Amino acid sequence: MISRRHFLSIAAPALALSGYPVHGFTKEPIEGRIIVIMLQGGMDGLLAIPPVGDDNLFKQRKALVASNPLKLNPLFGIHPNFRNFSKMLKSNEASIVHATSFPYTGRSHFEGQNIAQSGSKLPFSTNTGWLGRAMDFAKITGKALSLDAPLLIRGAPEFDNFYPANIEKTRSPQTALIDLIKETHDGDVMIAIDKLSRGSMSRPSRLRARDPLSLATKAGESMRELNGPRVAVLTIPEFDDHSSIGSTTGHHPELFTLLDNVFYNLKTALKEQWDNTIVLTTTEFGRTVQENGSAGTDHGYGSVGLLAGGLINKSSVVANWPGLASKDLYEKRDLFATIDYRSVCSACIEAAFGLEHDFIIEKVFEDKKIARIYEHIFG
Amino acid sequence: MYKNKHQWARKIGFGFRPDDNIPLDINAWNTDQLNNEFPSLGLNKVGLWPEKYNFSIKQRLERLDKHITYRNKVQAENIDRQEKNKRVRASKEEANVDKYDVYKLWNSAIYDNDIFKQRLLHFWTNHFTVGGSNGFRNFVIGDLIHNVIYKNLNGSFDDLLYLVTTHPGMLDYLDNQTSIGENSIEAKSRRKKGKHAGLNDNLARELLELHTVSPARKYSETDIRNTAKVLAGWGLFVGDFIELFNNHKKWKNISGNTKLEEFVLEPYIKRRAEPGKKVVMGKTFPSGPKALRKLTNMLANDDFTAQHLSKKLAIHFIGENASKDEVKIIYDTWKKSNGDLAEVHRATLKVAQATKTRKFLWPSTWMFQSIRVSGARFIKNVKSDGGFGRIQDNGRPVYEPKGILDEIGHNFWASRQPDGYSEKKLDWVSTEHLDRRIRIASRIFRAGASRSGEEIADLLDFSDRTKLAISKGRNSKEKFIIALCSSDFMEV
Amino acid sequence: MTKIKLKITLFAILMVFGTQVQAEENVLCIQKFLTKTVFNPGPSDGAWGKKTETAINQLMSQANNFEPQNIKKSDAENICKTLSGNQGSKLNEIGQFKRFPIVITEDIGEIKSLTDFDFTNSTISTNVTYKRCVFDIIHSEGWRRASGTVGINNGILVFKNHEWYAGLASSGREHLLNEEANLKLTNTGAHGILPHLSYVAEGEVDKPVQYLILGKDYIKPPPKCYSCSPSSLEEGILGSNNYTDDYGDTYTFKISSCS
Repeated sequence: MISRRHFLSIAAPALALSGYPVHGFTKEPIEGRIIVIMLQGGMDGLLAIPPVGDDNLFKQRKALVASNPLKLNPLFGIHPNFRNFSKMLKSNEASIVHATSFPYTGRSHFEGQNIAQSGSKLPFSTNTGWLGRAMDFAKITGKALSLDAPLLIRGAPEFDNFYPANIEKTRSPQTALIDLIKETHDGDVMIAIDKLSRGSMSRPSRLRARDPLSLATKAGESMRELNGPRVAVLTIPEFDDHSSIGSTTGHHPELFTLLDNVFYNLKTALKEQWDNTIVLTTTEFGRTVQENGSAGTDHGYGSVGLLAGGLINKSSVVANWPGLASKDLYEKRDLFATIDYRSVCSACIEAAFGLEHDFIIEKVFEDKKIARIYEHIFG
Repeated sequence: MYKNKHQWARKIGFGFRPDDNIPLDINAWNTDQLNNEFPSLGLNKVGLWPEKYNFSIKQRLERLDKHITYRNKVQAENIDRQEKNKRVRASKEEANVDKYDVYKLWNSAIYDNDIFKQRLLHFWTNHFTVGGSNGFRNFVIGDLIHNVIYKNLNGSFDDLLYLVTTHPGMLDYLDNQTSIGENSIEAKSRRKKGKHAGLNDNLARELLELHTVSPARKYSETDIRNTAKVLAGWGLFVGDFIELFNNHKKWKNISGNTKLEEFVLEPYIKRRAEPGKKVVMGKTFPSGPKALRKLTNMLANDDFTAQHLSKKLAIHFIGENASKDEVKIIYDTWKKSNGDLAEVHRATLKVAQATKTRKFLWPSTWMFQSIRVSGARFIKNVKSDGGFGRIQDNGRPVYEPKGILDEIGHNFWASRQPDGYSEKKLDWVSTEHLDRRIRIASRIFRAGASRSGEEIADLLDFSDRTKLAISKGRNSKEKFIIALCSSDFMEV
Repeated sequence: MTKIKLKITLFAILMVFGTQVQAEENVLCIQKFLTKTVFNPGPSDGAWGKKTETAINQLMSQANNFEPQNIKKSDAENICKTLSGNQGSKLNEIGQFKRFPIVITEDIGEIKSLTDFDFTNSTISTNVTYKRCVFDIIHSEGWRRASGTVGINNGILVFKNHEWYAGLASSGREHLLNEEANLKLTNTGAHGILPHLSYVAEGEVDKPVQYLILGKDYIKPPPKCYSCSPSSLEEGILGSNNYTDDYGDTYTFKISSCS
């Protein structure tokens, strides 16, 4: 039995905050906020949002279905551990996209995580992330100011000419020293040191709080401020359950509770700014439909995306359900992905930053045709 | 272009201590670095690592077993919970040897003379990442590092690959001990009892993707699946290793006269293995334990492995922007020597000597170099001072070596993903990381550096710009920190 | 006479035929449109069948806030006009994905925060007042989950400061974390407390004021005794109750050392 304290010793959850309006540079700060929760390892979408109305669910994975999912509609249920999220579904502040994935079928964590952040179709093909590029085009500055800068929010350097305002009034006595060090560097290192000397996020980063829940509260609090960041990226690792994934209880379900509480903490901390916020999960791939030899699942293809925030008007499950019969599976093993998750990302950018869909597809995702799913989520 | 010997020693090692003998003939020194038994340079009291802090894999598992037995006994006793907990914690702390392993890594980087070999050790340890856990894998990670990788840096790659793949730590880390052949006797028996049993492709996937050929080889999911079939039956849970070993002997799954020290080197249980032939990347492998060696040999000798690993070596020593030509030199040597690591490492040395590219150092490499080059008494030298000490702060022992590695974000015992720590500069350049480097530089100074910032700048031929910045430091501590955190020191 | 009748009949037949052709065209128009969406109308044969009817009703329902539509064959012409008109591209976009409305009828159950502890049957009297006590929440395996100081004001607990232990508390390495305190002591007359924002910077001490009303009875602690052995001090515990959560972890809430 894994007890609750396990949550709090998770390997390496991380928070990155970005997109600060800069006094004197930003004319009209954008109101919308985007929070991405990266679930690393591959979340099992069928365990989270079981298609209880699909007869093949029980045929294909008898031991991996929770015993008491909450019913959402004739086709879909939700794992009972998602209590807070379910409440948000009930009050039209959340939605679900199922059988979805980034256009990647390779099943490697490293390639998959790279693609989920870069938004490209080829792994390791770019040094920027889709959210970073979106911020570039939405003219949201103060981008790379963060505790750690995941690829997702890295934008093109030529767009980040602005240094963020001094967030905390007190200047560290070390500033002079740091400035001297800066004099010996160029390029990225110099920029990073420069931010350090502005005493920005370095102080909170020394806190030993490492668990996703406090990080979520921190993110919400910061993003509530008028001059606070517009973008947050929270990473929750350990979804890679090759063994003992669990059903009603177990490791994956515990991560669901954690994720559920992250949603709750974000909403609580954002207070009135929740209305201007959209939170979305990403994961590199789903997991196999059938269990493997170790009561777990291996890497798969389609999974779910969970979204929440005041920008949502009407809750629903959006899915072009491919079915779970063996013939309907991808390579006879994985849930098919019938929705390109980039559509979801685009919709969120559209809702929060006000960029137009076609523009986003062309400039942010550098692709020709990605379907617009905005109305299904925000309409 | 490394005319400056100190810079050269940093490029491929950890730099020279103030009390090191600087070799006159750098080429001879290079050659010596690659030898198996590296002789002491004389002045240093470099003895051997104390035998009592060396632990074989068998010893580690025995210590673990002893702790588990004690723990079970204590749990059953009728005493206060808090007291139980305290005793169990103390027992685990005593039994675990990872504190010695970590210390050895520190000690070697800072005091030993075979610094190129130490860098190679770090490189290969990262390549064959085995992540730590809150459980018991930390008991054996040090064995992989000090006993397996370190001792096989001069042989052929296919030996190293096999030893690493069959190591109990690696098998446990990537869940192979739960992987059972679908048609194995064990699986059939479990299914009769209504339990499930099957393959787990975690190790198989990473063996191909990360350790050898890489996705460039374009192998199929079937190849991964069949690799998993070859690997099925290998490994036992590290935590219960000895108990399981004894049980399997009792159940006659292992022959009665197999000794633990033999089994631990090739922990294979036939009952859990997948019978029949398997085809991986066009080649057929028989059933039985010998198939794994054949498979790892094939992978080790694959052209894509040579390409993949030559590139990694180049990036680690030359830098992220290592040129295709530089990689090719290493690759050609790999092919010609059939993966003879001594030859390959020699070629790496050659390319590093001639390159103009700079490498942004790993946090731990930077830190060990800072301590070594400055001569700071950051930790005691186990060999000459005898015994351990925690990390010093103004003469007071304060920090745990592992804790410091955690703080700089570069701990080989940390729980992490199998692709290991990044070699990309961008990944280590965040305000967070730099902030920590600055603070550690400050601590190193407080531990009593015998070389000042200005001396280091002269020694290593820093740029005028950096020397100017150093001169503006208000006191010796600031000058020291500026020197160590300058671009001249962080890159080499 | 017959000629005219013939002409009229022919004309009538042509009219009917023509209308029928037109009708088929309308249905075909709808079917062709639907084929480009995820609402499958069956074969594009111009025949209004069950599949076509279901599909168009689903699409239009989804486009109209999930209100059930009642589109019949007779509406085909109007529908076709709509699909071909300026609404067409919007409807096509809506038709790319199926949207399933959510209707939750079951009770979702109590929301449990990870720091939610339900110490039913905790006992403190309403007329007890102590300026300062120490409280602990201890796991059955012995490690501390939270601790701090609390005052009691006529039976109401006033938390002065508290710390939640996170991380590897069980193995002796404790990371101090000022975390969301969602202490909830329930009993007749007890209330839950609102969570307060808790992320406190290092070095700061969070001083929330939290009020809890507990039950009626209490165990009076023995007088302070400095020279007593630790075990007898332990006995002076006010309110010591167990709570087991969904995961099987049992915690004890203890208040002690009151003055």
